[in-house]
Amino acid sequence: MNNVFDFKRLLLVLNKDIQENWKRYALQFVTMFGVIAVMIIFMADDKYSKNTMASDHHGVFMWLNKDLLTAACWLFMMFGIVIASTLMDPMNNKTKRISYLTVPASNVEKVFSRWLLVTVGYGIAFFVALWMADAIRVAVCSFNYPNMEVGFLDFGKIAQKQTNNFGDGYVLPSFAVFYLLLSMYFLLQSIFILGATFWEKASFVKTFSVVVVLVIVFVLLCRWTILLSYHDFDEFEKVLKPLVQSLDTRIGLMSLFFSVITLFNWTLAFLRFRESEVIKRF
Amino acid sequence: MIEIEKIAFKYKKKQVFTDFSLTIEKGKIYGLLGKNGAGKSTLLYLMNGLLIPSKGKLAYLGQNVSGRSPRVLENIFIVPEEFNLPNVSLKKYVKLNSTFYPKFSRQQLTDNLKHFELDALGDINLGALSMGQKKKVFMSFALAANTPLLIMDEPTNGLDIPGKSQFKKFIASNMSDERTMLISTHQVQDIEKLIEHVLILENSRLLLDASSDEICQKLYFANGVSQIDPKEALYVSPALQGYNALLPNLSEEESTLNLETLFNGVLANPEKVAALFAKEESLV
Repeated sequence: MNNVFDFKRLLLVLNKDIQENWKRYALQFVTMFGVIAVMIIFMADDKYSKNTMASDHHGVFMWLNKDLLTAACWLFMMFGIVIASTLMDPMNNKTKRISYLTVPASNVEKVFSRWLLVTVGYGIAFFVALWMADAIRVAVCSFNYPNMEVGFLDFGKIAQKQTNNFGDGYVLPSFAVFYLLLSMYFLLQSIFILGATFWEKASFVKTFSVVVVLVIVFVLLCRWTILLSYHDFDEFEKVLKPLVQSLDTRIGLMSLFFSVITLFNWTLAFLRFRESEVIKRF
Repeated sequence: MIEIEKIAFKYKKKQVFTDFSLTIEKGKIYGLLGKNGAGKSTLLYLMNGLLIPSKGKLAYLGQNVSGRSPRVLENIFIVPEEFNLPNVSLKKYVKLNSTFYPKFSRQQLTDNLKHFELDALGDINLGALSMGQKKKVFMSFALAANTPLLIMDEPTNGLDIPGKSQFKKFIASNMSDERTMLISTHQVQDIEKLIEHVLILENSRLLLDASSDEICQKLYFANGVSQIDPKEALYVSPALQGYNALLPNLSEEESTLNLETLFNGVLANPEKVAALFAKEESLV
């Protein structure tokens, strides 16, 4: 067997992790499902109750669909970063660190199995929870509002294919913006993954605090630098505008930049794991 | 089997090892003794890749241990003083973990559990077991994994009185020429008769690294004697019947190894003991 990466061994590590911690994962899933269900049922009920007299039932449904999809996107991001901060849960105390680090699998397999769980596994779990919660919403609303148009979430309305005529119940104006937001989500998720390798306990709170401080410092630094060099923001924009002209190019470049930083963070998290020891010395 | 060559290791401010070297050979039971804070657990963790030295070489059959590669980890099993067992049944635990150890023997595990009178545990959740039972289960698994190197840190801590005597038989019955065991403990009477090689660590320095035969050849253990010449003795301590003493074995008499007396004697007179063990080497 390969000493760095072996697919069979990766599956063994993944299987061991899931089966030994299935109760915790099940609890996380139920919590996620509960929050989604309560939120979307409340939103739908609120919308239908306020529009029972509306003549355009389809319009109400499209409006609700947009609101629900927006809420689902926010929930996906919020749960995603919370789950990402649990990356190092198998190592959050000394005895657990001994157990995990001595499993005869490579560092790559151990980190990749955790990454799969908090990234791909989480994504699948979220959409299953969302689908289940949505089914309950449809059942509840169909029962409570038999005269209104009630249907499952229309995911086709997340982003508009053509950029002209934005509207008609779409959440985002184009797929370019969708990819930009997706890359921003992965950037944020990777920051929390990286944070988990620094703080194995209360990782979410600690990473969140550090990110808030860093963002404030960064914004202030940028502001001061711009004001020192260009007097006001309009002048700075005039300098910036000719460099990148089209909106799509700007969005594309930003998506690329976020993706590169995301990859950098994931790699750094792996290197931090590789250097981890049973006793935190530094 | 394990080659430690001039390693250096430190915690935040405390330098634990500097230019520390040690060789662990195949087919022996090693006893690692030392006072609290001497660096025993640190050494065990280093040997398993759980800690990484800042300098030097630490290799298992030529492979770098600190890289924690699967090939190294499947050959070294550590039973730490405190450990974590998941909240799953023993059956499931064995199913999920045995696959990582190519020489794992289910028959041996059954025998080991029988030895500790735990063979009826199959479907019981490991989380529901007492600390002592967990330790017995974990040690049974560790031995059934058949790794060439088995490291145990304070293995008899938490075991009941029958458990301690079962432990000695258990280790003896699981020993083979292909296997090495390294046992670190303060409960020396629990492992006295098992130990084939003694390592005494003090202030990150090996004060003694010798086989039991060599120790008994060079040192004489006077157990429960009524009179002793303190000038001759390396160490004397009062016992229930007379004295226990450690003397240079000048007349090459046979005596029974007493690890407690040896440990205290080495710590009391490290230079004299070192000189006794070095003499032979220089003649060779």
